Amino acid sequence: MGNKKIFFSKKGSGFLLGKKPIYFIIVAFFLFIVFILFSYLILSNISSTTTFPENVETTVFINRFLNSPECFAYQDEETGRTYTSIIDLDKFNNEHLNECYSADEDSPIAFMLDLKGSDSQEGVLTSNWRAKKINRMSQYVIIYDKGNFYSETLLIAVQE
Amino acid sequence: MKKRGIVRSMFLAGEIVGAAIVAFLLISSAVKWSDSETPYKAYLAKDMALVVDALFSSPGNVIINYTQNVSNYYIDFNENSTTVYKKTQIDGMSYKFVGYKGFEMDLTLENPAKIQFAKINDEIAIGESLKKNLDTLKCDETTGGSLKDKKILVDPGYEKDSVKPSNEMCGIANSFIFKLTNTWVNYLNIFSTRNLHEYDEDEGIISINCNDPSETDESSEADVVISFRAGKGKDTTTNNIKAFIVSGSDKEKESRKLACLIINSILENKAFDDIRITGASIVPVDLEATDKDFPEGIKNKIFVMLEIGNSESDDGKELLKKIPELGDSIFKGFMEYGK
Repeated sequence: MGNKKIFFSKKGSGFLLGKKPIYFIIVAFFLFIVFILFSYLILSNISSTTTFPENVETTVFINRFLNSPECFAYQDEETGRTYTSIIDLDKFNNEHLNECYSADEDSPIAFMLDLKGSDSQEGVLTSNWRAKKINRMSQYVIIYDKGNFYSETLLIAVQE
Repeated sequence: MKKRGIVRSMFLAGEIVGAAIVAFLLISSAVKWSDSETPYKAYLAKDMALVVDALFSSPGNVIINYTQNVSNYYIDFNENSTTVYKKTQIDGMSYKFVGYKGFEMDLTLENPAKIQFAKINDEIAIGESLKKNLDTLKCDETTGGSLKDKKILVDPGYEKDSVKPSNEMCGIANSFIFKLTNTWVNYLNIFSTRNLHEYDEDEGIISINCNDPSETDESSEADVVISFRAGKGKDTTTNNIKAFIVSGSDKEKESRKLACLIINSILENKAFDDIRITGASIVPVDLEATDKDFPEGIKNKIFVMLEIGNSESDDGKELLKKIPELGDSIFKGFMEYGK
């Protein structure tokens, strides 16, 4: 009797674990893992069918930085006209960037922007920047600085 | 032996029930996720979030007519995400966008036939049918107090090669004066570059004598001067509204704001919905360099010369027929100033 599977004590007051319950527990755990993986695979599949083409989202945000007067784009005070891709150096700071890109911790993309030749101007970061999985790119821009215009390279680090 | 048989049967049944539960969960989960609507909901949520991101990126006014079929869904927009769902938010798919700081939105569209996204004068608007005008200008919100107690000079201009004002311009000026004096401004504060009819106390009306070619010299008394002209562009495809102000004037900011409010009031008037207005602008003018005829003594007053439409174009002719509506729009622009 001692070598055989016993599930209930003879006295009827206890519950002894045999091989089969352990088998069930393992199987249940295994099935749970399968279920999670299965759900994850399906979700990934759905997500992959609705993925943006590469860099589209990033490009939209970079355009915001360069084209929107709420970000860095130079705006003529007299006429109200916004000059796209011309950065007003007075606006190139963290405060302005986070005004026009109000990211929280879960926001999908973070940015660090820097002007290549500018010693006086420090790089600017969005508030969700964590310096992980960084892609780098650059773009030629025109800088407006107190009435003067000159060309410059904008270095863009993207964290996705 | 009998007990052991029962126990084995129980475990077998347990195994079958367990397997059935697990199979049911997997299949129902697969059916739920593989349902063709779920990827579509995810796609819509992402796509609309990208549209909102693109709105924030626009340097000027923009209206986007969303072309995807969304008529079977509820769509939620809040300050940082879009959610698409059918019955409850539990089966919804969400995606985040990143707005400006302080951007707020709490909007649910129920089975919308279509969606319009707009950015007009830096404000984001989303709805089924927004009725927004792309040409509206962004007006300075800080400048100026009410014009109610100001002395207002109305100049109906004159026709080319004639000293008489055109019927349209004189009609618009009179319609504007009627609105002003009827509800808002004391008639004693109304002046004109042309002779006025005697004030009719019974009807409370004061108006410009459109048949009298003689000019007055009352501009020096006025605080605000508004002048009307019809545009005469050679390009008959254009029909613009322009407001000329004096560059370098002490009241340039105030003039710009009044011009902006008048133009927006015209553009937002539903009476002109069927008329194509191709553009609107405020043009600062150097008085010493311009060949346009401006009234005398306007240099340091709030001054707007409103050029209404292109009288050479069909749309301009239609616009200039709407005399009471134009007078009403100009009056509303005046009323908005100082609010």
